[in-house]
Amino acid sequence: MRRKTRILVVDDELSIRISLGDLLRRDGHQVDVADSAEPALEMLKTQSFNLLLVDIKMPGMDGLEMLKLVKEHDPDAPVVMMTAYGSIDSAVEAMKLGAIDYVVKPFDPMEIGMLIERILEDQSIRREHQLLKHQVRTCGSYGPMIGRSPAMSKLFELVEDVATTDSVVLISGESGTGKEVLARAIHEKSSRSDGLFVGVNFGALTESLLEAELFGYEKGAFTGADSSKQGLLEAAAGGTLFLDEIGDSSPKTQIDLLRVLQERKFRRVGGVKDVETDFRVLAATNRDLEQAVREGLFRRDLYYRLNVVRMHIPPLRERKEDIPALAEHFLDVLRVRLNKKTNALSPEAVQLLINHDWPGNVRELENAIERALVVGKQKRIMPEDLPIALQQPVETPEDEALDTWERDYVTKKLEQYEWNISRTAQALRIDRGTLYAKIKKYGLSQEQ
Amino acid sequence: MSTLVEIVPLGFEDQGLLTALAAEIARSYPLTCRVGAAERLPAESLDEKRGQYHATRILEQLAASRLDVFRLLGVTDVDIFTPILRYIFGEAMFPGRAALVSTYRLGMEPSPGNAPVDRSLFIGRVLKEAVHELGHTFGLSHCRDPSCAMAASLDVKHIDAKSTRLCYYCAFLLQDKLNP
Repeated sequence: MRRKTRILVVDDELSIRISLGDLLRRDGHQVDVADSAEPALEMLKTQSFNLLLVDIKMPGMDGLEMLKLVKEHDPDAPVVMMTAYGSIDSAVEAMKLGAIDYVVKPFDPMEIGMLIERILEDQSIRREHQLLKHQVRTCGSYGPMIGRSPAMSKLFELVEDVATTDSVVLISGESGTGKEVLARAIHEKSSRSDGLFVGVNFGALTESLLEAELFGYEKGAFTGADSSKQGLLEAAAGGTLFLDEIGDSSPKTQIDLLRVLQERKFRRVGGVKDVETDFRVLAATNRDLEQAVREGLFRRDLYYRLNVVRMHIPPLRERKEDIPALAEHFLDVLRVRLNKKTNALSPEAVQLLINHDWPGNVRELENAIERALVVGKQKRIMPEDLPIALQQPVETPEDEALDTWERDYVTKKLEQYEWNISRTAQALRIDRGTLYAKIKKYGLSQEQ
Repeated sequence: MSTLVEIVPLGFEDQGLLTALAAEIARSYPLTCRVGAAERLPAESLDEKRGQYHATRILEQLAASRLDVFRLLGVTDVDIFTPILRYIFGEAMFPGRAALVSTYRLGMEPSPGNAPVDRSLFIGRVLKEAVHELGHTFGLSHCRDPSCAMAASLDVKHIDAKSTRLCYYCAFLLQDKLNP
């Protein structure tokens, strides 16, 4: 089913607004109406429509004048002019000004139905094309991974290095940091990119279901196994097998996995023959695997098999300098997907984003931008569009005093360590990103 | 809550068609249906300039009457319109209590030619349009399944392509509307 579209009807005649509105609503469209050009132009400042149906002859500003203003503001705005018999010349003029088409009132049901269908289909194709172009552009070298922080730059260098090998990589990082995105980036850069990227989430499936999913099964292996089924290990042949949340795997699954990693062969459930396979293994966890090994919860031998190359994605709070670029990336992607006109972040909103600690990491940031796009009514994302958790408390004199004290203390430590960020952060027992945020907040610089 | 749909003949006397209509509505909806007393078309609904009757005004009169009845379906043989369209086959409050069907354009082949069609095809078209307009009174919008009774009918060809039945999804949505 096509997604709901928004149409703005601009006509000074009440009966036309009512009957046209009803007609379009019955086709499943969301309809807004305006009785003249002025309120319609006002609506266009903050809202986005898939189609504008504008009457040419209206008191005050006429439809042609409105069309000119709309096109000045947004040359791609889809406008269809409505005209009465006898004013075809104006309709032709409207086409020259950039209207998609014109229709003569009252409409022929067939003509208007097909016209709207055609316009919306065209838009849908254009939107998909735009999304695709955007995906291609943002995929770049490392998929949609974005970051200018030293930690992320090092990670990107490592991607280049490990992509050319077949080594097992263990990716660690908190939830929402983008472990699967990084794994996909490695796969895409590798010589196995023509094969499949097959992900298995060990935290999401029960032991028996996981066994059937991973190894596949032979007909009759268990009740309901009416036919043989290939497992994910076979599907990953020639490609990459991504073991997500590996720290959540059960002791039995760990033994099964160890055998596969050692021998590169396995048996389907209920099978008697060994199946050989060839895939590259990438694993990810948000748990402290070393701690799990010490506590006997994770097999030491499997840990060594997986921990060949280690890649750690730092949490977002430790690389705050990446937040503006990430926020802009999500804004670009989501505004197209949500069909919103909002195309920028206000400086105040960016500051709030930087100040937040992001326990849910990049995923939480993406959700915050999506929420802001959904509730926001302006061209820029404003502080009030962001989730409440991000809103700063009003500063009281007590806060100001605390700020003054903190400013002086941070300045003193920076001078003490000659502006070496790592050492100063260590001394202050905060991470480098938080220190950068404080330097920015207080406008500190070495020259001062 | 009443589940009665009352068919209101508006200067319309084809008893055979009215009886078939009542039976079809009872088949297509989990509602009872009867043919009520005939009424006149409201005089103010005639637009002399267009030579057609204003469907919205007819619906307003229908909706203001028989408040004990769940839904009202007006049936007329005059040519009806809404201000934005040159002609329509029917109209309904979306959602609301009243729906209207006109037989005026349902008894002929699609233009060019406009030759009269046989009675069974004619009756079939009226039944489909009645089920369709009644669906709008429950808030059902147009369906993209061309065989569903809620598919848009821009032309009689579209009516001929659909059935008197609601598709699975529209029937599901109807249940939702009837049992919120």
